[in-house]
Amino acid sequence: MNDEPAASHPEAQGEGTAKRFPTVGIGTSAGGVHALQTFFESLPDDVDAAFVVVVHLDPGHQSELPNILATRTRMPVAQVSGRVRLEPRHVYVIPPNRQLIVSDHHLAIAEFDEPRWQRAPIDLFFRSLAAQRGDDFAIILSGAGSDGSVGIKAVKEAGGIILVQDPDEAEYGSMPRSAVATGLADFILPLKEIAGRLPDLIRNRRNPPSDLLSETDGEVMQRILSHLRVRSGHDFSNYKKSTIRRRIARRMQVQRAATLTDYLSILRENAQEAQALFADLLISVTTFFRDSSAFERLAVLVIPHLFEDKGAADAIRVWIPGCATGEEAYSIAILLLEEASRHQIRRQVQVFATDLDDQALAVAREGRYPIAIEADITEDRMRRFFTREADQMRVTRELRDIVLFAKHSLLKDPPFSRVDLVSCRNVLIYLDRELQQQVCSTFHFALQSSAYLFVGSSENADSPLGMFRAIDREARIYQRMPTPTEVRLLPRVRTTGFGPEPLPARSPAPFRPQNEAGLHREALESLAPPSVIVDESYRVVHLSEQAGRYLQPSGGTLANDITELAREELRSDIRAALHRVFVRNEATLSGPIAVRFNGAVRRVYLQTKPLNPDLHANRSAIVFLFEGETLGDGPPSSETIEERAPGQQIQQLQQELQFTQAQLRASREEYEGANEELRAANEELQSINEEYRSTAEELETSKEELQSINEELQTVNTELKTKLESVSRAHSDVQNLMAATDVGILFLNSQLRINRFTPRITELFNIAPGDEGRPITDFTHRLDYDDLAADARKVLRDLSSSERELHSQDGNWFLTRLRPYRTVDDKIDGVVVTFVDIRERRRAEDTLREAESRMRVVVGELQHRTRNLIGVVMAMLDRTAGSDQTLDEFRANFRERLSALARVQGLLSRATPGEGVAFEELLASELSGQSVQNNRAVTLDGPKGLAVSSIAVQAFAMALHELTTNAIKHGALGQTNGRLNVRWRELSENGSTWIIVDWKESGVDTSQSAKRKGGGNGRRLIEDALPYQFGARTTFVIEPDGVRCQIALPVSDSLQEETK
Amino acid sequence: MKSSVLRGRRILIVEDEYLIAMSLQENLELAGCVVVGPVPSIEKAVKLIESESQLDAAVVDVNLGGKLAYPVADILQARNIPFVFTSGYEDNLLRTRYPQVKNCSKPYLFPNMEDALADAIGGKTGPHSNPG
Repeated sequence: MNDEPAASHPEAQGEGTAKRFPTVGIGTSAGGVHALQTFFESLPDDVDAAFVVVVHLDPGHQSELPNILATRTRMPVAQVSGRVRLEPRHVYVIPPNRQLIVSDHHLAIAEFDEPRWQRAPIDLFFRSLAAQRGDDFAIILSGAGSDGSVGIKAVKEAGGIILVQDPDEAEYGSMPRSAVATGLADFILPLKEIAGRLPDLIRNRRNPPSDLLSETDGEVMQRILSHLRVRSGHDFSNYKKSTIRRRIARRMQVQRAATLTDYLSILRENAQEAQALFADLLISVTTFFRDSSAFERLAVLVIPHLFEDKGAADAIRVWIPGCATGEEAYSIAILLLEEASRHQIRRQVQVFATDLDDQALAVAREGRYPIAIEADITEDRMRRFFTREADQMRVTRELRDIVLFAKHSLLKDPPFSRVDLVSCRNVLIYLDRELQQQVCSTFHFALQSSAYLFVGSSENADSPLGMFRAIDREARIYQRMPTPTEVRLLPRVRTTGFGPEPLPARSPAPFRPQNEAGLHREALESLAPPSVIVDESYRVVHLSEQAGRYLQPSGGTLANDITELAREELRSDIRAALHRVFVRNEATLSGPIAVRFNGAVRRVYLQTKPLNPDLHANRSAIVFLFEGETLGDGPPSSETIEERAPGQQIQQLQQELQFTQAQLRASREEYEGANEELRAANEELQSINEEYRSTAEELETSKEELQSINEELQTVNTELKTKLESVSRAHSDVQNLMAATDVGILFLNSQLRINRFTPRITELFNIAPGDEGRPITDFTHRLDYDDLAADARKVLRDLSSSERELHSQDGNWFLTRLRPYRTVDDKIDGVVVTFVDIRERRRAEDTLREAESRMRVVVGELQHRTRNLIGVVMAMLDRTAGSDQTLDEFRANFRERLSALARVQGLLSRATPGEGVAFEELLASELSGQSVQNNRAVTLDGPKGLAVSSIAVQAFAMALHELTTNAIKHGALGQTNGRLNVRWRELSENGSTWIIVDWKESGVDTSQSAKRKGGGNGRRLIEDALPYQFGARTTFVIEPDGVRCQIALPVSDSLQEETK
Repeated sequence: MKSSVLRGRRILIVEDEYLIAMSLQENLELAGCVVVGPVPSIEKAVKLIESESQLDAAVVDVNLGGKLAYPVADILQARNIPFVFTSGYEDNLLRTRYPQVKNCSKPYLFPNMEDALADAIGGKTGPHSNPG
């Protein structure tokens, strides 16, 4: 075998599946919201397929479905609003009032052409799905009605797989049940199992079936078909190969078989699989003018005869059992109409199309077919008999009117009668041989004599023998043959499982005597005179055992006619007797007739009696033959009598003749009258029938209408339920919000009556629960606000909101905001008043204001200080310049003073405002500034933390600076034996507090310092500035061994100044 | 011109900063003025004004030991004594309350102060004005 193509196969498949992903169409209606929720919840998110959800939606309402589904799956869910490309792992939802169509891997929406009750969006979508490609999925979930059942047929025929929710599980079982009833469902499972199975099926998806069959597989295919032939008795080897391949590929997918061989073994092990495959193969592929050549033959051979053979008043009746979705019926009807238009006289044509399948009949009644039928119908016929409706073709009224669809079982129900043509194509092949024979008998019964039967290309009507005659064996056209041997009886109906078992079929002859009556009949047969039963055309229908004695056929072809079969002597008498029997309906007895039997002449009497005198259509007669004595034994008495009175006999006969003629006239008149009446009655019945028919169709339509309205109501109901849930959820949210909020909210209606309020409102108004509905103006409140009602009216009038801050009587502040109450549909229906407690905010604002003004003071103070400081520096400059001689001296002194000033500023900036600076820090800063901090000559003594007010700090520090400078230059710190002792303490005196500082130098040679101008600056600062500025008391004495200085600085006053 | 206006005038200095007060005093004396004070506080200033029978003008520091010197200014105005503020800050209040009074903002140079004082004195004819 050639391995190359086989090896390349998996690759090609892999590439194909990577590019293509299947579409999963999901059809559902009532109860579908829940079903879809469960389905998507159970479905994994990584299924490589596009999901399209088609539901019946109320055209007048927005659908919440996409939002509802989005919470159940992580796949993006979108409502289709225009042409959109299908993507895997996406969910698409049909919009309301639109139909959804898939084409060329895109989804598109279109308006409905049908009135509401006739819409079948699921069927429509499935059909477009089937037209697009083969291996998609159709899922039917809960719903009322039967939408989708037709669509899945198309999907399945295209090779798709059908999954149906278990009708017992579904909230509304009718849609799934209807889908199951088609017998097309591959899986009937509970929702969750569908969701579980689907990913598996998609993974196992096969490539298009055309890839499937390699040369090697041909043999396996043959074995599968022969296995099927053994199992079902039907040979599909002549079916179209592509169809068979597609169907087998589908079954393989369902059965998860990887190769044909695998599938064959599954088929062998599992008897049901053979049945399933068989059913799949039989998926009705009926089309218009299927086997067009056969139809052409029918049009030529049969149809014209139907018109020719009929009287003008007779209707042409055609019966099409097993009409399925009506294509065959309409095809025949088209032929009939075409033929009728060739004739001058308008003939009444009635086509009865029957089937067991309600769904199919519904489709047939609708008379709408996909545009694809154009392929099967010639352009002329298309134009004449179809009108285009959107993307469908609808049969014209003319065509529709002559076809009457009815539910009828070919096997169980009594057949139609007096039919001119039966067309029953591709029904017999489903039946076993015995049933086929029974059905043929039924047709035989139904048909008028010489009427026609038209069967499918793989069927025949050859058995039972003698019922039909083939007119055109190729086209399978048969003509009914009269069957002389059987009185027409209703064909026995074979039922299976329904009703009482009918009597076993009796073969008409020979009789099998089984009881006394039978024995009696047998005895009579042997004892009674020989007899012959003859039909109206004188043909021998039956002979008694002895009757052969009287027959002597003449030469030539063997005829059936008794007048040619009987012995020559009897022929004229038999003819005469039969004539009387059939014409007058009278029994006759003949005179003796001389007949020669084997040389001996014997007298034979002929008695003729009508049989079934009532049944006009099926008259027959029985002829008894009595054998008398042999001639020659004596003079024949009858002859003597005849000779004796011939005249008298003639006279008697004439009288009889006249009487009879009179009677005949009377009865003919009577007959014609009756006939007239019957015709009138018939016409009346026809019209009543017509009325019934149209009533029935109207009822059918209104039933469909009701069904679809019901369905819509269910959907609306479900949506309302979901909405109600969310509303009550929102309501409880509002309740909780009202209870939990700290904001006072008051809802007033447009008459300013209370609608609703939060608990905080009761603190402001004297409102208690139960006051809803009373005007707000009736209530007192604790706010300094008398204009509430006026403001509210203003808000209602201007539709603007207003805001104000209100003071309440207990000292609180509220931000009160009034805004119009807008309903969801943007109508103003009252006022919402909110009271926000802004106590805290107010307080914060006050604090802020305070802080701000304090800061302004601080900034002013700072400015004052800075400018003052510069003023001081300028003064210091003048002073230093005035006292020092050289520029160098000036520079050194000025720099020192400036740095002392800087140190003080540093101390001040670090000090806590209002607390001043601790004296020891002031001192340490000055000493360390002059690097005498750790001088052993210095002793310090005093309490820590004694504060110098910050106003005084600067001047004080400058004084200390001057003292230290002088001590270094001329005093204790400049001479080897010098000692400096600084002591300080706090003193309270007459309610005011003082800091007392004692500066005492010792061991100093003052003779040198006396030469100097004498620390002029420092001394002036201490003696003049401090008392001037702060009311300090100071002493400054130069003792022989050094400087003694005491400074007493009041603290309390200046300190208090500072804190202000 | 100006120095001639100031010559011999009795001028009160109200200033809490010793060095600044001293500096101003020296400069005014150099300009031929007779300095009254200086005083560092409101109380002392008020006392001095009440006791001093002849004052030609005054220099008032607005901030005296953290207190605003308005009482001093009010008495001066009541007695029709021209004066000049010295202040560390631009104070709106000051301007609105005493629109006629010049503020010689610190730190000032003496010539500016001299001009301000001369203006204040020249704007009105005091009892001891000496036009010449």
